[in-house]
Amino acid sequence: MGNAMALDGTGLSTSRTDVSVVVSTYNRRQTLPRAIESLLDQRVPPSLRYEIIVVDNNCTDATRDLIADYLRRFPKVVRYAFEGRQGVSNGRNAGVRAARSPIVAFTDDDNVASRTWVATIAQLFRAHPDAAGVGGKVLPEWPRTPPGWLDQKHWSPLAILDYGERPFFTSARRPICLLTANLAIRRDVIIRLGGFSAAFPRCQDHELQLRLWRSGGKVLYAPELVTFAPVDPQRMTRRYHRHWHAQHGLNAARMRLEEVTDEHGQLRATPPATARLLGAPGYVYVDAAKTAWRWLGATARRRTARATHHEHRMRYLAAYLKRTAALSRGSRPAFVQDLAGFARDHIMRRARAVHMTAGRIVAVHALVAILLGASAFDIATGQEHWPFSPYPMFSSVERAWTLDSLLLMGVAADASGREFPLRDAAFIAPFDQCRLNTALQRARSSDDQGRRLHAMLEDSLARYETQRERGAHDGPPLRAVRVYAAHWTLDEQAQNVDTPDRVRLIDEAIAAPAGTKAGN
Amino acid sequence: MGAAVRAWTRFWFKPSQPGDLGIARLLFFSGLLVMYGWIDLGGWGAVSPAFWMPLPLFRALHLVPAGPVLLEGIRQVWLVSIAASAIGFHTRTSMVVAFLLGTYLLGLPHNFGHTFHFDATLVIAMGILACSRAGDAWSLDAAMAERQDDEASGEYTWPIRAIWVAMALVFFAAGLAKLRHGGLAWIDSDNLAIVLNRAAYHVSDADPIGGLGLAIARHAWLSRGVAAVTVLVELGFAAALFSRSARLFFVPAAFGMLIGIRVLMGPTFGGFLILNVFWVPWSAVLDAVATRVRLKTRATTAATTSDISSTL
Repeated sequence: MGNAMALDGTGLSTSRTDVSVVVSTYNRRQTLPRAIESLLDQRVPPSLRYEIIVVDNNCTDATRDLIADYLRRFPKVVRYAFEGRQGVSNGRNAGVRAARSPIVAFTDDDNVASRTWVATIAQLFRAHPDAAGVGGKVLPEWPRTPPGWLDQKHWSPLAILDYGERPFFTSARRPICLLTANLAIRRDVIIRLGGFSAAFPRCQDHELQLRLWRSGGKVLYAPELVTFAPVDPQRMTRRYHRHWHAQHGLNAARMRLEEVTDEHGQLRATPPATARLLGAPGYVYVDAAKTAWRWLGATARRRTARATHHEHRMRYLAAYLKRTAALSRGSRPAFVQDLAGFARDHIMRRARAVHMTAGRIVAVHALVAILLGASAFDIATGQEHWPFSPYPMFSSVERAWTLDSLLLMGVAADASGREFPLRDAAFIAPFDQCRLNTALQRARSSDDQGRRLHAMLEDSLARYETQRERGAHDGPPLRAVRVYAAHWTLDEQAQNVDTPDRVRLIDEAIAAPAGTKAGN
Repeated sequence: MGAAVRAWTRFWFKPSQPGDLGIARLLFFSGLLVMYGWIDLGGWGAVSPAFWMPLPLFRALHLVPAGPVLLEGIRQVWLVSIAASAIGFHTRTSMVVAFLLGTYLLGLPHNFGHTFHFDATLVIAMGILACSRAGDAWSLDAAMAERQDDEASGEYTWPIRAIWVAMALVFFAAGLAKLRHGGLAWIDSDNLAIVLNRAAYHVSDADPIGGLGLAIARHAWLSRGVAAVTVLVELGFAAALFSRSARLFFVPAAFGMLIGIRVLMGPTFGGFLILNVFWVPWSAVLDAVATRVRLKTRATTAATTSDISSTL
C-alpha cells in the first residue's frame, strides 16, 4: 500500500473523547455545512464525548474560511486538519492521525447523519467488543423521482446502501462491503492495517475492508445506523452509470475482486488455481459471455431494468479483463508477450503506413480470410457453398457423340393431341430448359417413387396454362405435359435437335377437363 | 518472412486515391442496374414446393421463397439500393442493403434444382463493397460533404484487390476442376468438340449465337486449341494479381473467353463481365484522356494562331 499512513502513533494523545468523526472534504463549500450541522446536532448521552475532525484536503474554494467559522463557534467539538496530498484516502488517513478517540467514524462531506448516529456507534461498539467496525445504511435523498431502471440494484454508483433490517457481520466468510459514508472502525485496527491506500482513488473502503477481513476482523452491519446522501441528478443518468461501472471494473481488477471470493462467496486465502487467459481466470470470460447473452435476452424482451443491470455488469467485466490483462503483462510467458506485442505493433505500424486504423486492418483480414478460406475449402473438397463453389461445370470429359437428356413435352388439348417440346423460356418461366431439366433429373433420382417428379410436372403444366391465359405466350391449350428420357446421336449440323433417336416416357401429368387451367 | 509480410501488405493496402474505387463502384452498380433492372424474379414465388431444393446458405438461414408480390417489393427496394450505391447516395447503407437483398434475390433461383454460377461473384463483390469506403469519391455523399480530403489510403486499394482475388479464384477453380476431373484428356480429346456440338441441343440456359461452335467442333485441332487456351487462361489468370504485364494479357483474354462461351455455348456471364471494371486504372485513363484533349486543344490553338499570323 504505497501511501499508507505512518504507523508510529505520532500525534496520538490520551483518549479524551469517545468517538472521532472524520470528514474529509475537497471544495464542497456548498454541502459541507449541512454535514457538519448534522454532526453538531447529535443526541448523545452526557457521558459521551465526541469530536468532529474536518480534514481540508487542499481545498481551493472558501471551505477553509467555513471551517474556521465552525472552529470559532464550536472550539471544543470541531477540529481542523490539513492534508496537502490530494485524494480521499490521504484525507481520511490525516483524520485518523489527528483523532483522539479509540473509535474513528467516517462520513462524507455531503452526507447528513441521523441525530442518534454518534450515540449509536458508541453503543454498538460497547455491545460488540469483538467488532473491528460498524457500518450502516446510506439512504438516498432523491432530487426528483428516479427513472424506472434505477432500482436498488443500481445504487452502488450513487454511493448509497441498504442491506435490509437484519444486522449481520461482514467478514472473510461474508465479505460484503460497507461504505465509508457510514462506517466506524477502531482506531488501533486502522493503524494496524496501515490506513486507507492512496493507490485507490476509488473503492478505497472496499480495499481497506478486504485487508481487515483477511486479518480476521469483522464489521457489524447495523440497520439502525443511518446517514442520508443527496443524489446528484447527474448520477441518475445511464451515461454516468456506464462510466462508473467501467471505472469500477478497472479498480476491481487491481483488487482481483473476481478472484478473492470462492464459489460460496467466502474470501479465499490464495488465488484460485484455474485456467487463465491474459491473467484473468477463465470463469471471468465465461461470466462475461453469459452476461452478454443475458443482456441480449433482456434487451430482446424489453426488460429495461434487467438489461441495464446486465449491461453494467458487462462493462464492469470488460474493464476488469482489460485491466487484468494490462497488470499481468509482466507475468505472461515471454513468447506470448512477444507475440502479442509483435502483432499489435505490427498492425499499428502497418495501419499508420497505409492511413488506416488497426481495427479496419484486422476487419479486412477477417474478410479476406473468409474469402480465401471458403473458396479454398470448396475447391479442395469439391463441395458447393454458394456463392462459393469449386466451379465444376463442363469439367468432366465427354467421350461419346451422343446426348442423353430429358425432354419436356406439351400435349395440345385439341383433337390432334399434338406434342411439342416446352423449351421456350416463356412456356416454363421462371425456369429455363437447363434449370428445369436438372430439377427433373434430381427428382427422378430421389427415392420418393416419382411423387416429386409428378408434382413438378403438374406445376409445369399449371404454369404453362397460367402464362398462356396471361398472354405471356401464344401456345395452344395443353391437355398434359410429358417428360421423356431422350437420346440423340449428335448431328454435325445439329439439325436433329428436336428428333431424338429414341425416347422413353418417364412420367406425365394430365389436366382434366382438357383445355381448362391445369393443376388445380 | 518480413519480405512476405511487406509484399502482402503492399498488395492489399498500398495507399491509393479514392478515384479508381469510386469510378469502379459507379460503373459496377450501374451495370447491375442495367442487367437486373428488367428481370422478373416474382415467378419464383409461385413455383411448386416440389422444386424447392435449398442451397446450404438458404437452409442454414431458413430462407424460403417470398410470395410473388413480396418478391417484387424486395426487388424494387434492391434496385433502389443499387441505384443509390451507383450514384453514391448514403453509399455505405445502400451497399449493405444491396448486398443483403442481392444475396437473397440472386441466390433464390439456384434453390430449384440447378445452381448456376454466373452471379455468385457479383454477390461476393457486393459484400466486399458493402464493407468498403467506395463512396468517398465520385459520389453524391462526397459532393454533399464537399470532401476535399483526397489522401491516399489502403482503404481504397483492398476492395479492388479483394474483387481481383475473388475473380482469380473462380477462374483458377474452374481450370483446376477441368484438370482434376478430366485430366489432359479435357484438352487433347474430342471433349470440347462434343460439348460445342451438344450446346446446340438446348442443354444450357441459353442457346449459342450463330453456328461458330459447330464449325469449331468440326475441326479437331481447333477445338483442342480452344480447350488448351481455355485451361491456360483459367489457371494463369492468377498471375494477373501480381504482374502488370500478365494483367495486360490475362484480363482481356478472360474477358474474351467469357464472350466466347456465350457465343459458342450459350451460358451468359454478364455479371462477370461487369466485374472487369475493377481492373481498369480509371484515374490514369482519365488523366491520359485529359492530357490528350489538352494537347489537341493546344495544337488547334497554335494552328489557328499560325493561320491568323500568316493571313496578316
